Amino acid sequence: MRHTGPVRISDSDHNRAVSSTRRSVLRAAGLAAGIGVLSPLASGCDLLDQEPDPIPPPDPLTALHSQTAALAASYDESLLAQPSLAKTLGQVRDAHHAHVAALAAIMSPPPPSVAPSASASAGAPPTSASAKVLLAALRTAEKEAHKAAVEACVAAPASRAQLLGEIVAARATHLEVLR
Amino acid sequence: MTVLTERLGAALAAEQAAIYTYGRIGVLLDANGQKEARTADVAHRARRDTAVTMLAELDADIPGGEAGYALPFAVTDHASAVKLALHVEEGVAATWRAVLPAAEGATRRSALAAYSAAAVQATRWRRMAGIKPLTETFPGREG
Repeated sequence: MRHTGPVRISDSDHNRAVSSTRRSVLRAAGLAAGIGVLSPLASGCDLLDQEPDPIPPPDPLTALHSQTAALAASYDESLLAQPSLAKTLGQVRDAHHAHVAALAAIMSPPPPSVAPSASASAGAPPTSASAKVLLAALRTAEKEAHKAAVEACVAAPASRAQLLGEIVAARATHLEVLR
Repeated sequence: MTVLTERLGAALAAEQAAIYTYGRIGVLLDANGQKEARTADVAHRARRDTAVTMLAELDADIPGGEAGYALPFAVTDHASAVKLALHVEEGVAATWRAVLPAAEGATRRSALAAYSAAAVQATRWRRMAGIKPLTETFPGREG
């Protein structure tokens, strides 16, 4: 049985320990009072009806979070490939990492942790690329990410509007830096 | 007054103060600075008009703006004028950021555009002033 949320009676380990005690109690009660006792007792818990816990839906910010992680990874790769870019883009790179963390902190359920190599954006230029090529790729990625963040912010509940708005505004400033 | 009209009122007041400030400091800026200030001024006027329209649509009171504003620090030359311009943009950005959770749909989209534009203009002033870093991780956030 999958344990996906707060501990419930249907958690398998807990259940096994409890259920053996309960089954013996029920057996005794059943023997004493007839089978009819079992139904009302059993209906209140899922001992005898072992349905899996419902899997909670992923948070609506899942796609934006993944895209932000990929964007941060692209900056990491670009700065490794062309360290001279760190002067202008170091803070931008740091901001994307901070945004990944900020998004993860408000998501429910929290996103699965993203392995750095797995999050590299598809179509990233090879590390032998020039600064000019890398910048062009980052500009394109940042532009798309900015658009995605705008839509996420407009669609978000009030409690998330400011953080998503901050990400939008930050990305707009990144595009200014990347000119 | 609702939270939205209150926040829109504050954004409008910030835009009105920005227009006034650019009018005061323009003469102190160098040629590039003046060009930048003109662009910023046009944007502030457009956003002031947007804020007025939004408030009118909400049947809310529309603050008229002050005749003059006390500048937060003395401005005597190009460098201090750029510093003040940056300060103004950061303040304007913060007021539009505050509108976001109170607004929905098209209003939120407009507020977002205004917030972003002020943040970008702030980055442009930082570049002119040689201030690093050029960008903030969470633009306009307190603290």
